[in-house]
Amino acid sequence: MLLFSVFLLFRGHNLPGGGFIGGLMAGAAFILDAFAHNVAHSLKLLRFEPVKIMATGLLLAVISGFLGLILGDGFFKGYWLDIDIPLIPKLGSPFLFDIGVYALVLGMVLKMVLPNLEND
Amino acid sequence: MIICILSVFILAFLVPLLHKMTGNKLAFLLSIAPLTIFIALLCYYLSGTDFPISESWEWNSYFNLELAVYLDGLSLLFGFFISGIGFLIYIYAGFYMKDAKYNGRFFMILTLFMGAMLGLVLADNWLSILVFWELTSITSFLLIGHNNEKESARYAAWQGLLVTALGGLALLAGLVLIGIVTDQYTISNLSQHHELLTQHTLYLPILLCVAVGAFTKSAQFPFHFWLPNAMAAPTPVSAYLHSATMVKAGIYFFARFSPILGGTVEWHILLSSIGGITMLIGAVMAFKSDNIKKLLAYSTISALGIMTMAFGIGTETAVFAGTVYIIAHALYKSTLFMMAGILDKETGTKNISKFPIMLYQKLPLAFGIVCLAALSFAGIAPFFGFVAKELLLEMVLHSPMLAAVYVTIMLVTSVFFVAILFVLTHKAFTKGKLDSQVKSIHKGIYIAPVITALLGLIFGLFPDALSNLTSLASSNIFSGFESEHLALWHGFNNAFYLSLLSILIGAGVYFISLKVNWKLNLSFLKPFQPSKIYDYLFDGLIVFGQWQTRKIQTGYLRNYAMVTLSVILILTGFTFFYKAGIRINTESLDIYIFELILGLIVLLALGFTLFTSSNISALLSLSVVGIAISIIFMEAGAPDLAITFFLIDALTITIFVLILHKLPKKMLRKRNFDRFRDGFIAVGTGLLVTLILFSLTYNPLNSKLKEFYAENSYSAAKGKNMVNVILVDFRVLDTLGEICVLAIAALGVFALVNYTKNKKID
Repeated sequence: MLLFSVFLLFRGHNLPGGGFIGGLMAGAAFILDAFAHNVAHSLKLLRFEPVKIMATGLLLAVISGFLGLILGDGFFKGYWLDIDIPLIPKLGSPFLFDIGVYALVLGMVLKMVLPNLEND
Repeated sequence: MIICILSVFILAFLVPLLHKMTGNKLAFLLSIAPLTIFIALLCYYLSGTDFPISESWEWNSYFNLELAVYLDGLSLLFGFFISGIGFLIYIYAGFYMKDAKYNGRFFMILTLFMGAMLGLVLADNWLSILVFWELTSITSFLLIGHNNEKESARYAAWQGLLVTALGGLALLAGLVLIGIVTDQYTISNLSQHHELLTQHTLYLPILLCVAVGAFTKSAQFPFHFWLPNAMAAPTPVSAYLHSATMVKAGIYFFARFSPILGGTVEWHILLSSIGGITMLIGAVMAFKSDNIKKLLAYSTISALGIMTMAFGIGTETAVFAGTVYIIAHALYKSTLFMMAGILDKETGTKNISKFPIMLYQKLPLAFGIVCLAALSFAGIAPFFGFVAKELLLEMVLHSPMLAAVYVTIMLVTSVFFVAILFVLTHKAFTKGKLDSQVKSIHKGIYIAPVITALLGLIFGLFPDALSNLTSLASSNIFSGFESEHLALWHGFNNAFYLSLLSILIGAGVYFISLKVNWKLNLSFLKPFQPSKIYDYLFDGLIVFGQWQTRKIQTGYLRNYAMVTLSVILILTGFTFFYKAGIRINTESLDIYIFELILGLIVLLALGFTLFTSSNISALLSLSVVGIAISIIFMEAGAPDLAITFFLIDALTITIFVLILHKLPKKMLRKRNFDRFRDGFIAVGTGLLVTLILFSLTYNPLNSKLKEFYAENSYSAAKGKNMVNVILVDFRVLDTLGEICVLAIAALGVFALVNYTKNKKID
């Protein structure tokens, strides 16, 4: 499921998908694991705390906006690298933003769901 | 120049770091900043460059937002004592705050204040002035409340903040009105619109708003009560903010806006009357005070009243007098405040009556400095205060309106000032308690007040040195002002005789007060005191807030939902039916069998949800609804939406299931009335939304947006999925806001869950 979520993320820009959906999918993946084993196992798999992931996502998203400010244009102007790697969408600031959204949604979902699981 | 101001702010944020490195020497290190600024300003002044100088950085031209700086005589004048006195205050504070707690925080906020004040007097775009204005309010709040463990400090800080913030709101309103009337956002260009503004119908509201803003900041009646309480701040703060700089911000505004809003009868009456009342109240209350800081606070209020009145009268002489008095006051008041702090440290008390007897023998240096400053305060020759006072007396004598009234007020105030002179010198240093002791402190603390006191004397003896500067400043306030020369001796004119008279009466008042203990019984007026009104409003607001929260925030989700939905139903429904009416375009409604079946499934599932008595079944049928809806989205050609909806639905149901086992197994049985009511609201809202949608799509949507996105999403944004491109690129700011909300919601949910977890007793 995790692979699928990353697939969704990458797909986002050109076909149905995107950061938000990818994040939800990834969250669902971890919750499934938590159901199967227990919350501790899932958290270990995740390696970082949900809150930190969420915060990092927000930070990434905001940084992608500040790139524009630093380089003299407006806030959130889009920049793209000229490389074209197959399978991955055009690398650039919207993609960075999307990754940020992905991380944020993943962290958010886990943060909301996992504490409830623990009460068993 | 803009860099100058910004660098102060950057310095401020570095302070805690510097504090760790330098410890007690921090203040001396920091004092280099204001010194540099002072020297820079001095260079500008002496080099004879063409004034005024302006500089601006554009921020957002659509909203006329720019960071603009305008250096003319008036701002130069203020800049000099913000930086000059600032420099001396840092040195004073270095000795005064030695070994005190939280110095890092203190100096950081003090530096922030200095930056804000500089920004305020140098700013040209009035939107930026407002930002700096509010910054000074906030830093003042933090500084007054520095000793945050004391209740009195917290109360005073709040009072100061709320009163000046209220003024800030009024000021905002006034400035916005000016912007609307003149469409001009730079102050330097506003004076051209003087005619337009003063003849406009909105003139009086504008004047009132701006005036209230300035009155609150400069502690004029009836907004004066926060200043004496602000004395809870550490003395360096009182000496800097609440005598020499921040409270003069309102006066600066009156000066700045004189050529823009001034010269009318309303201006004259408003400022002069408030100024006059304030002068008298301040002077009398100062004379009655025993606490030396409160005495100085009240006399500051009085002095500010004098300045307000001067700018109210607005003649050439008045403006000049006001400008000169600003300088004189800054010099002697900061000295006196610094000395108050020193005396407090030496004797351990702030109350004059508790000072050691014959203090002048024990602290001769202190006595000397206080004498110098107090003599300037009372306007005795050959001090600079005398030069100022003569000008003020001439101003009131030659006032075009109500000269007699002003002369009387001025005279009475001067009388009390002279009496206060004696209080500060005679009463403080000769009378007192027999058994009080004098502590010993580092003598370095005297450096700063000695300088300011001596300056008062030097400028008194050679006032011509300041002629150029004050004339320059006055010419910015009163167009067509001819250069005046400051002189110590103006001849045996009326002003001189009045001056002598005030000295004699003042001395008389003082010595009589020593023998006779007069108590004026005005206690019947006590409930109407402005400070009591503030207290009523403050407490009342809290009580109201608590009541309102009890009523509306009941804690039950169904109550919130009910209130929200019924308001939507009533307001939107009413407007819709009243203004628009139902329009259904029956032609374009093609219904496919597929959709009908899906719709039926949804209805069945909903029915099951509502009427089943088991929670789990309700949830399961709800998830059926969710799946059906996402299929509808899919079929309508919105795959992103369908996937998103489906995933959210699945996750929501998951969360519900997890929480489920904490709820009772059977659902609540509601009263029939409640069921009907809730059903009505729910069905009604749904029906309303449907009807609105139908009416909206009555005419086919003809949107250029679709074409724009279709064309540009690949070429400009390099993506073929328009939806995602819109989310992540074209409308990325919206998405940013949304994910912030998500983050906060997650934190909130987490906090709630944790809260109940910790409360659970098992």
